[in-house]
Amino acid sequence: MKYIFSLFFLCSLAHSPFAQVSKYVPSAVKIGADPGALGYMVLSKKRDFFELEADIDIDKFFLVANYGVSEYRLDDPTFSYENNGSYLKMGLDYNFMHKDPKLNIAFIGFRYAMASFKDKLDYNTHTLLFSDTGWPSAWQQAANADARARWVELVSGLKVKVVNNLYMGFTVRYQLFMKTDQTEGLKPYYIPGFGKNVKPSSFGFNYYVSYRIPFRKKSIYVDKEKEVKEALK
Amino acid sequence: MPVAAQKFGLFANFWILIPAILGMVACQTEDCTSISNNFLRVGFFKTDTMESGRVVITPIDTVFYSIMAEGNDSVFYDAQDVASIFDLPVNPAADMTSFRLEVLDSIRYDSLSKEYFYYKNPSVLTMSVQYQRSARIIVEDCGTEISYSKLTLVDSAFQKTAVVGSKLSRLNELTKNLNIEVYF
Repeated sequence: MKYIFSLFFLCSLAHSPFAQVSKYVPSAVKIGADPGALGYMVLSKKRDFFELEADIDIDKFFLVANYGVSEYRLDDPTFSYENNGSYLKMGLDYNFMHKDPKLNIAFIGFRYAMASFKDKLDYNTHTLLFSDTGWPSAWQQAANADARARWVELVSGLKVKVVNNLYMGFTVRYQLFMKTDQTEGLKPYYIPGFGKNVKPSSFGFNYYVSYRIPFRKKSIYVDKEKEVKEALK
Repeated sequence: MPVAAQKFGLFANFWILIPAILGMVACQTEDCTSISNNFLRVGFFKTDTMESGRVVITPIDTVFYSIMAEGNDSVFYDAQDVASIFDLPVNPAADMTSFRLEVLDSIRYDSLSKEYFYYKNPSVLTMSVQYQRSARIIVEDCGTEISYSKLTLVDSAFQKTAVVGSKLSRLNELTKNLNIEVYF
C-alpha cells in the first residue's frame, strides 16, 4: 500500500506547478513483463517463472524494481530437486540516450537483489560419486524451509519504442553472488532470480515488453548550439 | 541521420552480439569436480616420554582382527591390513557412525596349507563419531555429493583420542591430514 501512496505522491508532484522547474520530477513510469516466461512455460519442464519490471523515469535515470516468482525442478534416477520462491531487485539505470526525442533507451545500471525461497533435494546415497563402502542404498532428503539469498547485478540493455508508448527490449545482467542464509543442510542449486548457484558470478538475460505511462511531457535536453551548427553545414 | 540515432544504431549493433556471446558462455562444459568423500581418516600413534621429559609421538603400525561399522556388514579392514592410518567410511544416511574394532589375539602359520590363521580376542573396541551432512547437486549431469563437517567424537574405547580435522575430504589423503588421532 505504501508503494501506491508513493506513486500517487510522485504523480501529484508531476502535475504540480513545481514540476515545470525541476528536471528531477518523475515524468513517467514503465510497467512491463518478461515474455520469455511464456517460452519456458511451454518448452521447459525444469523452470517456470513470471517477472514484472517497473521503472520511474527521472531525467537521465530510471529507478527500477523487478519482482518475480519462480519454480525450478530437476528429475534424475538418483535425485530430484524442487525449488520455489520469489525475488526482488531494486536499482538505478543511467540512460545514454536521454537526448533521443523518440525516447528510446540504452542503459547501464545496477541492482541489489534479494530472494526468498524453499528447496528440497531427495537423493540416493548410492550415487556414482561414492566408492562402494558397503553402506546400504538409501533415499535421503535435505531441505531448506526458509532460505534467503542476496546478490548484486551490473545491468545493461536496450529498450526500443515500438509503437506509441509500447517498448520492447532486453537486459543483460552480470550477477555477483553475495550470500545465502539458512542453508546448512543443503546448498541451494538454484536461486530464484539468480539462476544456478554453481559459480560465484554468472550472466543473466531478460526480454521485456513494457508500457510507458507518462505523467507529463519529458524535456529533452538537446544541444541547441550543436544543432544550429549542423543545420548551417 | 541525427547524431543520437547514429549512436543508438552503433549501440544496438553491439548489443545484438550479446545474446550470441551469452549462448556460448552457457554452453561451456560444467565442472564435475567433487572433493567430498565419506572417509574418516584415523591415525594411530605411540607416545614415548624421554628422560628429559620430552614427549615423542610416532606413528605406529597397527593391526585389528577386523574393523566394521554398525549397520554395515562389510569388513573395511582385516588382520592382513597393517597400517598406521585407516580410512573408515562413515554412514552417508546418518549423522552418526559407530565403528567396531575387533582386537587380534594371535596369528598361527600352518606349514601344511601354507596359510596364516588369525584369531580374535573377545574384546571389541568401539569408536563413535557424529558429523553434519550437507548435500548439494554438483551439476545436473554429475549428480549429488554430501560433504561431512563439524566432526565430533561421541565415544571412544581408546585411552586417548583427539579430533584433529573436522572435515572429511578427498584432499585429506593428498595432504596427509587426519581427522582423528589415537594414542597408545
